[in-house]
Order: sequence, then C-alpha cells, then structure tokens
Amino acid sequence: MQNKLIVFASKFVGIYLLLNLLYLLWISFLGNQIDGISELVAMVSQRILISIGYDVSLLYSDLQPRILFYLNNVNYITVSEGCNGVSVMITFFASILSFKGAIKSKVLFLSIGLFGVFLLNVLRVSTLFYVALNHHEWFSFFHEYAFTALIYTLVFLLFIFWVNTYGGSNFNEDAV
Amino acid sequence: MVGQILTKMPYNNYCAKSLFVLIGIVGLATAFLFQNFDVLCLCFNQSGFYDFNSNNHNEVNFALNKLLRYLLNSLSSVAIIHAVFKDSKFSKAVTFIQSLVLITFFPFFLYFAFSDVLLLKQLYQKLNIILLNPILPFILGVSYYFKSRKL
Repeated sequence: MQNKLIVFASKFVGIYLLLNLLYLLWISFLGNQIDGISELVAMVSQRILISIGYDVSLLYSDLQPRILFYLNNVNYITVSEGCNGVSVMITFFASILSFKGAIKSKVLFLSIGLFGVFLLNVLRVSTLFYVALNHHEWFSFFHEYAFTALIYTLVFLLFIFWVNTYGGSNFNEDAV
Repeated sequence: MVGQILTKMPYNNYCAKSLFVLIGIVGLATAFLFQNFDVLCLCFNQSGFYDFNSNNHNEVNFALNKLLRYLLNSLSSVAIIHAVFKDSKFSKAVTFIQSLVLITFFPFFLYFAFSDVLLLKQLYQKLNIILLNPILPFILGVSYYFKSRKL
C-alpha cells in the first residue's frame, strides 16, 4: 500500500509543481503586464458590483501588474496575480489528474470544477470589495482566513465527489 | 515513535478515538489561525506578529515557525486519519509520506524563501500552499476511504 500511496502523492506533487512552474514562467514573461486570468476576474467582479449598485471603476497600475478597484475616487481593493485563483485551480487539477478515472469524465469534471472555482473566486473578490467598503475591520480576517478556508473546502468537496462518483467507477487495487 | 503510538492505539475505545479527532482538529485550527504569528516570539513574550514581506523577520525564527507548522499539521492530520480509518498501516504510510516530503522539499522550500531570485521567491509561495496546509494528507485520506469502501 505504501508504494501505491507514494506513487499517488508523487504524481500529485509533481503535477502541482510543474504546472506552477509553467504558470510562474508565463507570469515572468508578462513582466509588468497583468495576466489575462486576473484581468478576467477583475472585470467579472466589476460587473457583479455594478449590478448590485456599486459604480466601481478599474484602474490598471503602470508600475506593477495590478488592477485597482475605485469607487468615488477611493481605492478599496487591488487584484494581482495572487488573487486570480490559479493556485487553487492547479491544486484541483493536480488532484483529479493524479487519480484514476476515464479521460472523458476527467475532462468534463475538470471543466465544470475549474469554472466553479473561477465563479467562487469572482464572488470572493466582489465580497472582499463590499467588506473593504463597509466593514474594513473584518477585511484581513475574510481575506486571509475565511475565504481561503471556503475556497479550499470547495476543492476538497469536488475531489471527494470525483473519487466517490467517477474515480470509483473503475476502482481496483491499482487505483491509488 | 509515531509508528509505535499508532500501533498501540485501541480502535474500539470510543474515548481514545474522540480524543485523537479532537487533538487533530485543535492542532489544524491552531496551525491555521497562528500562521501569521511568530510562535517562538509569542512563547518568549515578545512581539508576536511577523510579516515576511517587511524583511524585518528573523530567518531562523521563520524557518522554525514553518517547520513547527508543518509538523503540527502533519501530526494532527495523522491523528484524525488514524482515528477515522482505524488502519495503522495506512496511518504509518501517511506518516512516512509526510516525513519524505519534509526531507525532500523542506530544504528547497527554505532556499526558495530566502532567495533573491523573483521566480524562486514566487515558487516558494506556491510550495507554501501544499507544504504548510494539510492538502496532501487530506487527498490521501479521501482516496483511501473510498478505495476501501468500494472494494
């Protein structure tokens, strides 16, 4: 059992590190330009905030790859590379990919799961803006603890669902 | 030593099982809530908050805090896994993997953390996520649970 667990853990850590390295190379290649995923997260969050009555405008920083959220000429939150949810997506991707299962099911489940993580991250950014605006004293707690726990809980629930539903369908001794 | 404790644990003892789960949950919660504190400084009644980005941190304290967090997360996860799955072979295997990860990746993790190269610094932040959170024990636990249930 130990060998199988080591193979599974090695696959997970290997895929995780490889994808992160590729992602970081892409980020360094962009230099001071903001990456497309962070930009998309910022734009969708802005739309959500506008739809609930906050006339938020986005400002691209010239000095750093960041997007600043402004309301009435006041900057409340900033979106940068670390806020785009890619690290969580890579964790999810690596956990599903290192586990056994049919390729078709994996592709479908990964697509739905990644979209789910993206959606939750957009809601996280929008909520953080609301918290920064109305309850600034709680911002640090929500930013560092509450949403981190929430978003990783979603990933783990998705992984549990995958292993129990799709990953288990062709389960045998070689599965782990 | 951990292996001996795991082998001797009475599985049918409800109190012992609950105690292991409770210790595990408290351990994980403590590691999570104190992630931004210099626990060593707090123990010696000094200013306990540290911000790694401020460059005012003590490197030895930083390394020891990270090591402490890793050990706390790993031991807490193993305690929960052991109480829930009632399989000392599996608990030992998870302990072995966590030890292997510690020996293999922790030196690189610290090297990246103290490096001046931007790419390595960013890689440190990514390693920080899987090393200092109980992600690996959790996915191993989930996969083992459903594996044993289906077979």
